[in-house]
Amino acid sequence: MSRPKILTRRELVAAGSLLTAAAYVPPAWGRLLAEKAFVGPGTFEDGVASGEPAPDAVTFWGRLTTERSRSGAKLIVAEDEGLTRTVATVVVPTGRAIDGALKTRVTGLAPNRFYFYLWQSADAISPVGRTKTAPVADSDVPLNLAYSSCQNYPVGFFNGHVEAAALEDLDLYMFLGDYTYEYGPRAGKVPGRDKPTPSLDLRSHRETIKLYRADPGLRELHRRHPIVHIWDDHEVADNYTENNPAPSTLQRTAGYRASFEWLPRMVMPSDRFRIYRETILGRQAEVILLDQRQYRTGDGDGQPRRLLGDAQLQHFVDRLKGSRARWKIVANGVMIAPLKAGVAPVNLDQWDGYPADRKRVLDTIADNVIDDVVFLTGDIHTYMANQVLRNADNGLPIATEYIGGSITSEGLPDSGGVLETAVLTGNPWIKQFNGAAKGYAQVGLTQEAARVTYRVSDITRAGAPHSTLAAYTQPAGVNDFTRDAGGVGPVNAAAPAAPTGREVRSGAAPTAALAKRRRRYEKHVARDLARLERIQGSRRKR
Amino acid sequence: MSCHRSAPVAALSAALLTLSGVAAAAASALVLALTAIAAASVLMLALPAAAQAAPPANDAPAGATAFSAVSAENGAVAEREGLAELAEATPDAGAPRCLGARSFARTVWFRVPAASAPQLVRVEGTGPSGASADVPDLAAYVQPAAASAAAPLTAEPQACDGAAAGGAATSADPAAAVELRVPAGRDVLVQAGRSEGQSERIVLDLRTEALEALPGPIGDEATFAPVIARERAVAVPLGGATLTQEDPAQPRCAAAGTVWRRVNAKRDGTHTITVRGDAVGALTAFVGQAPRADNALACANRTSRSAPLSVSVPAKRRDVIWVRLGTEAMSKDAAARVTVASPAPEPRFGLTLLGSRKVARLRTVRARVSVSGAAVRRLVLRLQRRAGRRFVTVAVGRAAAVTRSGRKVTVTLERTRRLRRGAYRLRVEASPVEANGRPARASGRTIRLR
Repeated sequence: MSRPKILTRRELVAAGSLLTAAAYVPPAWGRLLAEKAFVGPGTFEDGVASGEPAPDAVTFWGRLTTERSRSGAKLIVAEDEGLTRTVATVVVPTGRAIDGALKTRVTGLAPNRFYFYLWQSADAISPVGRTKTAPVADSDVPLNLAYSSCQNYPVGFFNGHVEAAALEDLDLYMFLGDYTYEYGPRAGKVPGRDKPTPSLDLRSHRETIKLYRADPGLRELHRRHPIVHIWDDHEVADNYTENNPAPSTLQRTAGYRASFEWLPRMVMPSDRFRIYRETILGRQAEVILLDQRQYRTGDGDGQPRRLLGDAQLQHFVDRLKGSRARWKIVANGVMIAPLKAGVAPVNLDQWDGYPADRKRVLDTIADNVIDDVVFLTGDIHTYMANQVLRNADNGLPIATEYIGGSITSEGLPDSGGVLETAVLTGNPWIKQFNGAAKGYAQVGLTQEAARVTYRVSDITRAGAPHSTLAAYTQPAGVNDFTRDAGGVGPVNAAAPAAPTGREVRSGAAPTAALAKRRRRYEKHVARDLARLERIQGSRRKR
Repeated sequence: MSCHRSAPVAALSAALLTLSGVAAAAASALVLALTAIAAASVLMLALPAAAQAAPPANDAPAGATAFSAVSAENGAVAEREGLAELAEATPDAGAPRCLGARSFARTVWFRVPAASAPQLVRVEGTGPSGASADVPDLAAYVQPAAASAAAPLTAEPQACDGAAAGGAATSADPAAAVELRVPAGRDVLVQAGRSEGQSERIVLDLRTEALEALPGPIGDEATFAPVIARERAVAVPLGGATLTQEDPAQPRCAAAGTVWRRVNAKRDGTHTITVRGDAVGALTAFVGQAPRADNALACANRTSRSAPLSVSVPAKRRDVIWVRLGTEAMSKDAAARVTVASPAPEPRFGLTLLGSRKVARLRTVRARVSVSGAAVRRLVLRLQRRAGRRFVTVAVGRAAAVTRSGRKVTVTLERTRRLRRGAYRLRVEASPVEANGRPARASGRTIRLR
């Protein structure tokens, strides 16, 4: 009979430690019952959308309205509008955690062709949407793009979207920021356009974007064309930065979440809310999307002032240098060309407030001799056509900037064209300035030239017709533009009547007092110009 | 840029207008072997801990913190913010990992205070700007009416969501959310965490809404769930349904409010539970003495407005089946109808060969079949001879249309082949009368003919 072994104190301590460790591990609990993605009940009340086109893929969006915490819908993609030649069906899960959003990226599509799609639930089907894939990488087929920014719901009707939606062949529509506005409650300046609540948290941000998407023009635009979107400040809060004051993390995250939930944009696994990326449209164009809000630093917090953040700036520079496309289209939130009153920048919220970042971008373009960089800009509610100069406010033009007005948001007040004259005079790289007209812009791209057309309408009347405010042609390799004369009137002449009498433009001063004021203004301008020339002369000497 | 004539636009405007002059803006060996591992483990656990920062104040359930109010420039913010800092957070020994062993590897806790009326509690979580798109893990624990804040109940969560839950969490917009309707006077603890290998911050968004104080429906708590009769549709009111500490979360079939019913299984087999009424969004069945997360056997989510919800669960005689109806409906008139189909009784057969077993004397083969347990129809008796691995039928006989339970019936088998000496099998097949044509399990015995 063997003698039982007596454990030593050390062994007992070790065994005790093990037992303690085992007891510490929380129980792996429960039973996760099996479940496949399923098509559930619900209706489609918010239209359909598509975006982020690639030669073989498109991101599709829908939204299921349902009481259920878990549901799903089937996406059917076909080559024909009757949806008989189906190329893909996908069951997409959704639920309360994402406010019923339905989103999936379908691959295996053919390049440069239209596709039709709808969403199907257990109870309903969505409207049939249409989208278009991008051309293959070596294609130089001509492209038709359009863009807009700053759509303030209570201010007027989104007539620009109505016209853009009706365009038959559009390769891409770009929203360049301020897709929604956080203000509220606001009574509509036109009937039926009240915004009942401000956007402050997740629910209210979702309600706001739902309200916006109820606009028939915007909904139709999303139904008919693939889109990309960048945000600006009003998707969260006016002119927000990290510390000016910074919006709460809750509000900021809510704004970003709502934007992702309601737009056909895929999440990048490495960065939950990263929106800077690029869309390549063959050899003709590369659209570089920039996020000029999320990564800003240095607003009085001791950090260097950065508009894009280091990672995004490097990405931007790399895309500019590495792009094989003829046209490097920069979806640009805020104005890159300087805007000065005298010698001082007027608005530090735009690239003017971030000179180091701008210098890096301009140096990259100039030093690498990158031609045909075109900035398409939003934010400032003004139609402008700007030369982007080597040193921002002097030097040769190295790129161009077309600021596409606003869909409805109110622009700078002007009276008798004096502001326009002042801006153009004090900022000679700015060739057009119109804050009164409202609308969007079209861009046609070929290997030979880019043509930008500003389309405007009266936002106080639903469905008001459009006219061309101005059109510009930019030959490839030139980095400058000329204004088209044919069929286009003088600057601002084609602008429709503005909502208020103050903003109505007039070619001639109607009163003697105004004529006197204008003479005085011209005297001031002449004096400022002389001063500017003196300053520039002394700088050159130095 | 302000697009509503706000400060920068005003400043721009003022500056430009100024310019223009117009205006101004473990056995011993094993123990010994494990000793080193354990010691090393303990050391590894202890040493870094001394070097690292302390875990957050809300690392344990007893330290749960409140959600914070936030402000915004355009008005009062209804929702509240919770920032889950997980870098130094630890797992929780007393709380189950409701999304599997890898879930909730680091967690922190928040508390939603009780309200004087029932309230809807909704918590959503996602990573902040700059974080990865990994879906956080969320769980909510409804506290008993007299719970102590110092010793909260974390035995089982009532709602649970995260990447392993599937559904929206695996969608293109990864996020997690839990939603509960909570009775008046109940705190809710919210556990926020991430899976193994993840420690990024989580932004939580809390929304609470006071609900109409409806009397709780019968069976709102599982303890008081009435027993429902089988084979008959039973009306179940749902208005005022809430979640209490007795509701085990089932992430795949989540619901904000639940109503319980019990079924006492009277025989072994598969029980099918069917629910009609579109107020029910999810149906879950548990089998055991009390419903727990680990005895949930089946669940179903509503897939159409009109089609009934149905689940089938195996149970043994005397088991208790817990039927949970999940509802999002807020109406006091919301109701459903529940039907439980018990398994059809299984007939049992007794087989006796009548007469001689000598082949030479057998002109016909007769056998007596006794039926018990359930009435059967289409009773067929076969005499089969082994042929290699198979059996070949050599004689067949059929009984009357229906044979009741407790009866014996004599069946004559007509020979179709010449019988030889050897081993045979008598096999009886029939369909229980209650089983709608579904055949009963075949029964047989071996006989030897000389």
